[in-house]
Amino acid sequence: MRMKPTSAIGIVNLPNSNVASWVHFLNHNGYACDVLRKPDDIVGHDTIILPGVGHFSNGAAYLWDTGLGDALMALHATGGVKIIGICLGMHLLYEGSCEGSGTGLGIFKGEVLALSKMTDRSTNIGWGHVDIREIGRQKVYFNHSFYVPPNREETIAHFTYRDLRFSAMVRGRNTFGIQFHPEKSYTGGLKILRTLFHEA
Amino acid sequence: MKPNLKRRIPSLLLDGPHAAKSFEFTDWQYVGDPVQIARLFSEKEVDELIVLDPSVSRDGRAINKRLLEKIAQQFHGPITYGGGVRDPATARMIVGLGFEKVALNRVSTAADPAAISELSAAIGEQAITLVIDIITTCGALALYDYRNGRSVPISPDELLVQVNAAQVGEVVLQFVDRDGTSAGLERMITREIASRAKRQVVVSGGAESYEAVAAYLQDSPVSGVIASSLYTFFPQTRSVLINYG
Repeated sequence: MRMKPTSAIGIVNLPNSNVASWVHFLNHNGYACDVLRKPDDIVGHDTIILPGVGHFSNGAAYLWDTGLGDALMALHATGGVKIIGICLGMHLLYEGSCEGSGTGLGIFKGEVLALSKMTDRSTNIGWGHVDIREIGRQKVYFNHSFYVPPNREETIAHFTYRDLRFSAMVRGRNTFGIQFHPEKSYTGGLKILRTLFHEA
Repeated sequence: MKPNLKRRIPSLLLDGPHAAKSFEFTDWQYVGDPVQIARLFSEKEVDELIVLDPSVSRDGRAINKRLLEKIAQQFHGPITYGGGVRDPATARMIVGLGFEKVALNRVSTAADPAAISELSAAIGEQAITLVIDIITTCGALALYDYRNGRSVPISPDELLVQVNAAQVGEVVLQFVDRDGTSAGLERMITREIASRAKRQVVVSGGAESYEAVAAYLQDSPVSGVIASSLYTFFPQTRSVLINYG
């Protein structure tokens, strides 16, 4: 995997999200970053993080209402931006979610589903090991109630919880979705993010 | 069925600007600077940290936002806060500071049953932990109310109904009469609840040693163990030693 230095990282200021955790985590590990609140803020950033805690409907409404969604999709169409969606941010890369109404960015096709429909538990909270294509095995922290089914084209790591297999990480060219929280996974999470940030 | 890795969760108790440790949630002992302790736990890459400020509800103090912000800045793993979180705006504020879960006590939600669903709509049920205070005096199970020190007997089946009814990601069974005693984690009731619960269950109170916790986690259907004294003190002298082996 060819390495190049990352340039500017932007974090979308999704409502009720853990933007502060991302700023602490990135600064602590030597990365500068900016918080993006309106379409103009995206200019000059080539890595955009969609963080994730909160509700799909609120997140989707925020993206479209602020114009950030359209700006992001326009940039995505040119191939000039790397988008990394985390947990809810990953779900927002899809067309929709059974968590609530609203339309996601639709970079990945399909709908996000509920753990409660497929398992005897409604949430998956805790640590697990995931084997990520081209990155290897890492210990990571999950905290979610919704999931993306595995898909042959996009899934680059999967995880099994209560006998249900789902996508732990997906990739489509320069767009990545991560179901777990690398920003809460210490050295394992940092290793994954470093690889994504520096990958050509 | 493939389980997650089970969590060993240090708890950091706040008493005003200080970290403190209690014995059965009374008899507070000064432990140190909570920001430094959080930083040490972060360096040790603990599975999770739970920060509790009982003084907010007990003494009617405001949530110490500045202190929580400093703690969140120094801690880079999963972190939960509990103490005085009742409404969606406060829950959003806590998440905004960098905590991904908020803990609520059963007593405060019993008085306002709609509170949990309102919080869940705001920050998602995976971000809410319900703490149920329990005492097992003379072997009889009872719900405990920290506000007045009273307890109400409850059967394990009734407790299970409460656990499953709560729209939360996780339930903590907090055995109050074991707090700070290092008398050992409760086994029977916890097993009965955790094996039948639709929620992840974490147990708290009485963890005595690394070995005992490891054996307990291997044997029990719980998702994790919360411990305070174990990760805060050197066992023989009870002098402060932040540890996580």
